[in-house]
Amino acid sequence: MKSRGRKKELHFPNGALGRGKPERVVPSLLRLSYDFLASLQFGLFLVVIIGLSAAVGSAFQEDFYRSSWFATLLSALFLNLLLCTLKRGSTYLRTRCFGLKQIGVFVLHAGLLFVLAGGFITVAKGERARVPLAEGGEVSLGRFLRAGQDLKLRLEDFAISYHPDGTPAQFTARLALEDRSTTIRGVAAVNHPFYYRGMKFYQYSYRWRVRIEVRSASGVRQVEVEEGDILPVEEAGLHLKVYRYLPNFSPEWGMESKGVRPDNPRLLFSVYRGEERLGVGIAAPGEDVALDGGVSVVFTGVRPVAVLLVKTDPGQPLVLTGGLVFAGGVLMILSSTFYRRTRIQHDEEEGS
Amino acid sequence: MPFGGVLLVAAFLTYVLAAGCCFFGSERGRRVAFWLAAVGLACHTVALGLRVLESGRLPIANTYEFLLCFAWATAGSFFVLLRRAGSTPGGAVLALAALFLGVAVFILPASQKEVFFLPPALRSAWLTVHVLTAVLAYAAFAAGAGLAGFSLVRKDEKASRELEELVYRITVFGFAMLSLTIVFGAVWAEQAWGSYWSWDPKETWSLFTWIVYALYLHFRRKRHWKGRISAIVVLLGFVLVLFTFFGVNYLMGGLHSYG
Repeated sequence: MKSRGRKKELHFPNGALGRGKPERVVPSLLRLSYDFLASLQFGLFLVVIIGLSAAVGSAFQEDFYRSSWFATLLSALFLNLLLCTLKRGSTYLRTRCFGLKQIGVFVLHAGLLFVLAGGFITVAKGERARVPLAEGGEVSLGRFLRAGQDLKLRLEDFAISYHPDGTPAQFTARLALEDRSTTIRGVAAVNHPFYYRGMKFYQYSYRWRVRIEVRSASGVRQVEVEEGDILPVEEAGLHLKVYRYLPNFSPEWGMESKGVRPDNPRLLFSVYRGEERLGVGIAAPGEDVALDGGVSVVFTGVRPVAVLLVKTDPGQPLVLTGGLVFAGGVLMILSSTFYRRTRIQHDEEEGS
Repeated sequence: MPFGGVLLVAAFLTYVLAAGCCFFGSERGRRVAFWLAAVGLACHTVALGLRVLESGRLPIANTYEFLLCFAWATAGSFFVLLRRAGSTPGGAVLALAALFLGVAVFILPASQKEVFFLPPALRSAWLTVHVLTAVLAYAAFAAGAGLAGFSLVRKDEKASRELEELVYRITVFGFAMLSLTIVFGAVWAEQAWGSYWSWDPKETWSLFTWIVYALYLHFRRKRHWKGRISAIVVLLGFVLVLFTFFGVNYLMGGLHSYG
């Protein structure tokens, strides 16, 4: 009562906050736009448009979700959801309606707001980069992310563990981070990211670097190339195209590897003179492939390149909280539905 | 054919017969339907149990395994709903369970049915909660669609109204489970791929499905959608559920290629 009296003294001109009597019969533009923005119909309309454009837009435009059109829709939804939730909350407060279901509905929508707000922060402030790093290699993280200034990342070891049937069970990258004078060691594996200083490191994917030895009268040289690269062999006036490393070659599988485990490794390559392809070959490790003029190449092995996803995401705690709050609201509504049903059933049984 | 496969075929046949008996309408037909469905569900449960023993994990990691669980939960919902819906509308739910089991057993390629080890991305505790809530959501939506479809062809107005109320409650349950599926999936995706939402086709289409059911719940609460319209929306929602499952798995690929 006391607070209401104080509010009266403030004399809100036309009840723009939804309390007191509006003085004008014709609603103000502000009031009209507020009513529109806070309406359920507008919210549902937005949700339908967002859903449709998400389903259709993604089929035509790869970067659709980063478009300003989509961001505008989401911002409008955020505003609508905020106003709707506040309006509903104030109605509950005014009517003193605090059932489990009402609280659940409020909590659920509040959770969605947190998720959207967190998403906006992620897009605005988050950083992410894919960092390819060969085993034993080192890189300055500052090249990829602002948050990585003064940090050096080294891949100490990359390992694949296998199930008994040879399919991969886990990809594990052992990392070392040099933060000025201290070195921090950690492991990033699939489903187990590594955290450091607000950064998260994910074992994202991997590829192979192929080691080749070129032997000629002038000596032996070691080179390392990626799959798909072209290796010039000046000694013989030729080019070697390194197509693919097959960890488990099988004739029935052709140019595909039968699996990831190196049970029968081979290198698939072709030889060119200028533009002309002279032949295609397949070499086992250590096998000597003779080219022209006493030159030969030997496939000596592979070195893994781990692709790490490094990210900072200041919006994530908010999104995670929102997700949990949302799930909590859902469970509250669900339990209220069941509670009400069992109570009605109980009453019916007692009545009969 | 392995023993588990024989059990699944038996479950399929008994579901089909039970659904047929449900539509006879006689008291005797209903009783036969109940016991047939019970035998079918028992066979189905044993087949799932055998698969668990063989693989050493829950059968929730590819399209085939998901369909087995989905059909199992849909058949199970027949018994949960029996008291409230009666067995004649329940026959529509059983028919759907038979359909999904039939797709799993007779249409999916043999490679899907082989027992396999989990790839690294699926080796997570989140797999269990994410997929189990999805199974419950899908089964609830199937049951809701079965009953809604039945109410569309039925002439009795009063009984249809009661059925509509039941469909609404089932949909609330399914919607809650789908919401949890999406939340758990997002938390897991962040752990596995570093991003809780990537607008991957499966994510987009499940969001779209979620939106359609959210619309249904909002409009029904405001009493805008009643009777036939609400039944049609529930059916439409289920068509989206099926597209999110089959369509996205077979037409679009993406991160969610395993099921």
